[in-house]
Amino acid sequence: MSATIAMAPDTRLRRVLRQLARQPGTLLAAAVVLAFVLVAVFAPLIAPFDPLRSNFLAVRRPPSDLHWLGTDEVGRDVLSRVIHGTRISLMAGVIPVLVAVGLSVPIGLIAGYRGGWVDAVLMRITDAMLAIPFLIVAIALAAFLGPDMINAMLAIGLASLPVFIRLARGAALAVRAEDYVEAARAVGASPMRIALRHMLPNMAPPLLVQASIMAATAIIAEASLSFLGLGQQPPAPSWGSMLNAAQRHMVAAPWMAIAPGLVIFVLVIALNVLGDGLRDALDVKRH
Amino acid sequence: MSPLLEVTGLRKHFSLGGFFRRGEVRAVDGVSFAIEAGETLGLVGESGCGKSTLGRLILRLVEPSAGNVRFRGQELAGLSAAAMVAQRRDMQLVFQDPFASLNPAMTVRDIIAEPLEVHRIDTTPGIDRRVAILLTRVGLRPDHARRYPHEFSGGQRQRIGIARALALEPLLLVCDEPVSALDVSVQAQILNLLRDVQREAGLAMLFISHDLMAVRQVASRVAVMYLGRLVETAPTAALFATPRHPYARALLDAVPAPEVERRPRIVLEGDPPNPMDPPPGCHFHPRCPFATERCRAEAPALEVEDGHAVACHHWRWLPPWPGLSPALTEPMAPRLARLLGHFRPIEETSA
Repeated sequence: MSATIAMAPDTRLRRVLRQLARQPGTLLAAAVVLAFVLVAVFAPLIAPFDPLRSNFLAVRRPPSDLHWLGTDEVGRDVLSRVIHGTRISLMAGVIPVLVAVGLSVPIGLIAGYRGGWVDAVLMRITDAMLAIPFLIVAIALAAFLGPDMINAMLAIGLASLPVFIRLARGAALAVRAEDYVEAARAVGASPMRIALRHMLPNMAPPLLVQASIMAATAIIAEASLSFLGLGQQPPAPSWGSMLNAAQRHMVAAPWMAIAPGLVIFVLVIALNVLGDGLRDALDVKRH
Repeated sequence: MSPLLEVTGLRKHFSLGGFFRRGEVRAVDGVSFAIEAGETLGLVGESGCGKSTLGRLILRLVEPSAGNVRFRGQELAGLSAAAMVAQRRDMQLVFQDPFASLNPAMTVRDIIAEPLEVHRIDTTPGIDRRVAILLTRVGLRPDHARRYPHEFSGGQRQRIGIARALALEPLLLVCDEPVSALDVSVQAQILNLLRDVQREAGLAMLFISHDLMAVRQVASRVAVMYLGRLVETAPTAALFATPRHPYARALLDAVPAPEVERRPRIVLEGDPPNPMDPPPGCHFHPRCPFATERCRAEAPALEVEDGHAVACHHWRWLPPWPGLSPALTEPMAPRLARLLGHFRPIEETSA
């Protein structure tokens, strides 16, 4: 330990990273997610073919030296489409989560902090929203907003809102009862300061886990919406729309479904493991 | 000259919302007392008697149902949020649980600096310096500022909590059971620390505890609370020499002591009555060996004689009290004192 009194601003980050380093499973999951991110960023450089160019001389070809994962029903390279589809699917995982967290945390904080009738009203609305199945809401919203990728992500984010509001409110309630929140009140801290400095950081762990699960769910939901034609519009690739196309050729060309199905599976598992690990790493040893 | 803190007829009734059965808990039921500047008042009573609620009412962390709290002659009830924040600068709280009262996501520096930042006392380098001084004052090292609460032992955390409470140099410190969550070997150190800072800064203290021996160490006056009411208030020496209320006697008899010979004692049986449904008359009568018909019917008022107040119909006619166990009044044997002295280095090195 150095002798300086100056605060290292990254002490908390460093502590979390140190915790993470002790969990090989989480590290592996993080590596997988990172790999997907890199693939998405460098998709045009990695992909061997143009994901949109069709070739009617090579329709539904099985995996070969030239097309590692085969070709689809109009002769497009499945590998290139999966690589380009990574961009859309990662965005489909991240954007709805940002929408949901960004809207639910303030609502949950207000409900949990103020309590009383504010809490009651907000929670009854949330309960009503919660009563409608997630995917149905997403489909209805996407249909209402129009078939478009951004609308689909927005719809998925809004549809998952009630779960996040409930979670944020529950976390806020639990943290609010802590002595250190009362200590901050005794000192004279403003409600805003209490919410942001004392409650929010201690509400993060359950929200983070839910966010990682939500990211996985959102990727699947995007696949479902694209499958129904409400998400990514052809010919641009997304894993969901690829599955949608593949289902008509399941017997003749199973490789068309296996590749996007497998990457969805791997990414979703990696996100879930990463979320679990992050929660453990963030969990301050309090006792 | 009015006292620093004056509490009159303070009440807090919590209503319990049941749909079919509505109830009301009278946690604090008409309490009046005063604390002079620089004085330490000990507040004792069983758990659930309303001590902690009383402490929070004084700091207006809980809104009173009725009654007045005057701080430096200023009525606190009804103050605007901004005016209340200004008052909070001079009244601080030390918590019972040193594990729950420090935000686990903040460094020790940020925890102790928070009051200074909220009241805009100093610039950042100035605050860093003050935090270092405060840490030294409570027996920690300035470089502890960069650490997180979970890296400290219970006693050290309580020192951090005390440093936070002292940061604003308050006039009144409310200590809510500050040592009851700590190991016995650490309790004495924290009590000594509190007594030292109290003397040095000349601050007034409300010391809430169920531990009579801890109260005797720090308080100059003691108030005994039972089921939301004060039953006895007296200078510490007077209370420990001649407790007037049967409940105060029972509390003193219950202090564990190595007994040489069995003495006649009042042993309390059962639990305190349900505060939702307190007994009529004197709240203590169902557990009191001296209770009469009058106690069951009529609640006694506080009667003051020689600065010693008691709320009991019969205190003048009670049989004489045999006194505190001699083991508690005689000075500690030198060998035992030396042995206990060895505990201090252990706690300080276990950072």
